[in-house]
This record gives sequence, structure tokens and C-alpha cells, in this order.
Amino acid sequence: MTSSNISPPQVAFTSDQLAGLITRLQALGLYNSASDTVVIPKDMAASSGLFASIYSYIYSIIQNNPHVSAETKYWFSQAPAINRDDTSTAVDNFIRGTTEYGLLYGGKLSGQSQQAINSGLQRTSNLIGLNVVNSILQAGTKTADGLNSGGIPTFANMLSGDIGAAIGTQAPLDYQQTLGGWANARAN
Amino acid sequence: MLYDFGYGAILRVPKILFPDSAIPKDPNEALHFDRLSLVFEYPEMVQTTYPSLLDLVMQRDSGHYVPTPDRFAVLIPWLFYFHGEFGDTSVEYANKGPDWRPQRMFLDLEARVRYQAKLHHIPDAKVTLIDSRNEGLREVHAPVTDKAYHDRLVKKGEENGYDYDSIQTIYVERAVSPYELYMICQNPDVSASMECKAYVYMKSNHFQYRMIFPSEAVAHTDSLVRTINTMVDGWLQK
Repeated sequence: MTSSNISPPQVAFTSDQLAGLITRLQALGLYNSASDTVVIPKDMAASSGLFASIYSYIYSIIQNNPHVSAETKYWFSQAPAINRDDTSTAVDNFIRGTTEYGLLYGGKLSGQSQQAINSGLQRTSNLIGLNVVNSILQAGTKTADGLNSGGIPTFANMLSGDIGAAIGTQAPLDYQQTLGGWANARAN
Repeated sequence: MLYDFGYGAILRVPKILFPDSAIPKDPNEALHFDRLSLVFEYPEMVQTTYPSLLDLVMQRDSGHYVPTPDRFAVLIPWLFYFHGEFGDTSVEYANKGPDWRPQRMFLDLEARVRYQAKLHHIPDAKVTLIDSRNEGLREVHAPVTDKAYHDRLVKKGEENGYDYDSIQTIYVERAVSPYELYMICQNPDVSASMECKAYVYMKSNHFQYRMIFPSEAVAHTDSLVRTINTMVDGWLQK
């Protein structure tokens, strides 16, 4: 059990920004209009960079907004490279390498092919993207139409909410990530 | 130990759930936070751990995932007291108060459907509710407003061997219920995800929470929520 204090969204989206986000999700086939949520059909589960363009769009919205925290901006600035496994970037190599090393160090990847490990990391990264963008669609303030405006949750809320669920708690399962192995989830 | 959520809402929660360093020496001294999180196993309601996505994904991919529909871990990332004034969902209050979503999510969906219907010139589009085979729950069926987009996804699903329309199911509580609930359960045969995620508001004690558990356990939702409700009622200091 943990405790913390709730804080409101750092910034709400304008209707144009929200429409831009939904349009981009639709173009990728990730938006479910009947539920106003992001979904990932199973054939797209391990697609590399599924959320990269979405993260970049969100970063373009918040990068110059003084009301968005530095850590949130940093997260969205680095997330595209990690989600598309851009090995030319130091952050992707660090995050995925640290996560894999954490698992290897604990002897939890024995018998897994490198392809299976890479696929598992990519699927996890995409599911974190799903949680992040859904939390953005559900955040924000109420508009005149009764809709959520969408918005950027506080960084603490991002980690303690559904994204935290992606990390899991210290479960005694074969692939449970060690403290070192939490890196990928924390950063993407 | 006492846990003070503000607004006079105080729970006496088992101190075994906290690390020693967090427990006040004085038993009459309360911790002051506006939310807490917990993980437990249903139906025993004992502390447990919640598996990470990477665990679940790699177990699933390797064919080692064992569904546990009758005994499963439940994660509550946040639980907080919903003070009546948060019922004001004006922009001004939305920016001030804690998250007010549990009571509003279903209304949000209706508003979204109306908005989408208006955009696509579909008159009288509305959400319909159908009693679920799962006790205590109704299924929410929202109309297709963007037909071309929807048809594209359905066709792509057919080409890849799955029914896109069954990718997830939305649930709300029955008409007479001690709680309000808005829950989306992913179908692991179609979706990359495999969890149910719910917003719940308990009418008797006015606490609300986010709840996450495996999709295969959806049949236990009503019992699970009632059990949590009873647990929180038992912790509540009058």
C-alpha cells in the first residue's frame, strides 16, 4: 500500500489539439470511437514505434508550455525514440538495455530468444503507450459540449496510475522486472 | 492506524500494510494524504503483488500464461474520498479538486456519442444498455458514428482473423446498485491488452477508486466491488 496526494492535470488541451490527437490515433487505427479510448488490436501489438508519432505530437503541444513540468516534457521528448526502438539514440539503448540486463541479471530470461525478448519489450512499450494516451484522453477539464478536453496528467499521477500498473508491483513471477529492470516502464 | 483523507473521512487501516517507517509512533496520529493505493488477491483479500505488463506479455507470448478467473490479483492505483462539492464538474472545479471521473465517465461517453453523431450527421444516436450475463453489470453499446473508419477496422480485423467489434466490452452497474461503475474489459483474443479497468464509486461511504484486474475474472466484478465496499466500510471511522 502506498499513499500520495492527487493533483489536477498540468494542462488541458484545446479542442483543436484534442481533435489533432484523435485524428492521428485514427490514422493509426488505434482510436475506438465507440468508447473514446485507445485500443491496440492484437496484430499491431508488437509494432515498432506504434506511439512514436503520437508522443511527438504531444511533445509539440507541451514543449513550450510553462505549466508542464520539466520531467513530463523530458518523458515525451524521449518516448518516441524508445517506442520505435531507435538504437541510434543513447536513451533507447540505455532503457532497453537496462531493462533486459535487469531481467538477465535475475536469471529470468533463460531460454528466451533475442527475438522473443525484443518482441516482449516492444509489446510492453506499446501497452504503456496505450495507458499514457488513454490517461490523456480522460484527463483535462469539461468543455461546453460536456466532453473531456483531454490533457496532460501530472507526472506523479502518470506513474502512480495506470502507467504504474504497467510496471507492476514486486511479483514473484519469472519475468518480474528487478528494480533495475523498471527502467523501460518508467521511461516509456 | 489512522488515515485521514480530509473532509472528515478517516479510515483505520491495518498498519501491516505500511512499512514501519511510515507508521506514526502515536496511534492517535493520522497520516494525511488524499489517496492511497493497494494490491490484494481476490477472494482472500490478502496482500499480494501485481504482475508487470512485461511478465504478462512474455508469459502470453511463450504460451505459459495461465488464466486465473477465480483467484487473481487486484490493483487499486488510487482510492480517495469523494466530497460532495466535487460533484460540481465545472471547469473551475475540475482544475481544483481531485479526480471526479468515476461519476462522470458514463456521462462523458454519452456526451462523446452525441458529439460524434452531430459531427457525422446521425440523428438520435444514443448509448444503449443491455443486461450482462455477468452479475450486477450491464453492457454499454455505443452507436457507430464514423462508419467509414469503423468499417476499415472491421475489414482489417477480418483479414487478420479477429472480430474487431469484440476487442473490448464496456460495463456499467445495474440500475439498482450500491455502487457506480464504469469499466472497460479488453478481450485478450483480439486486443494486445488483457485487463479490466474500472472506475468505481461506492455510494455508502463515498470513496471512489480505479481498479485493475485480469479480463478473465470479469464475472466476479460485482462480488469484488461489494467486498471492497465492505472492507472500506469496516475501516471507516464514524
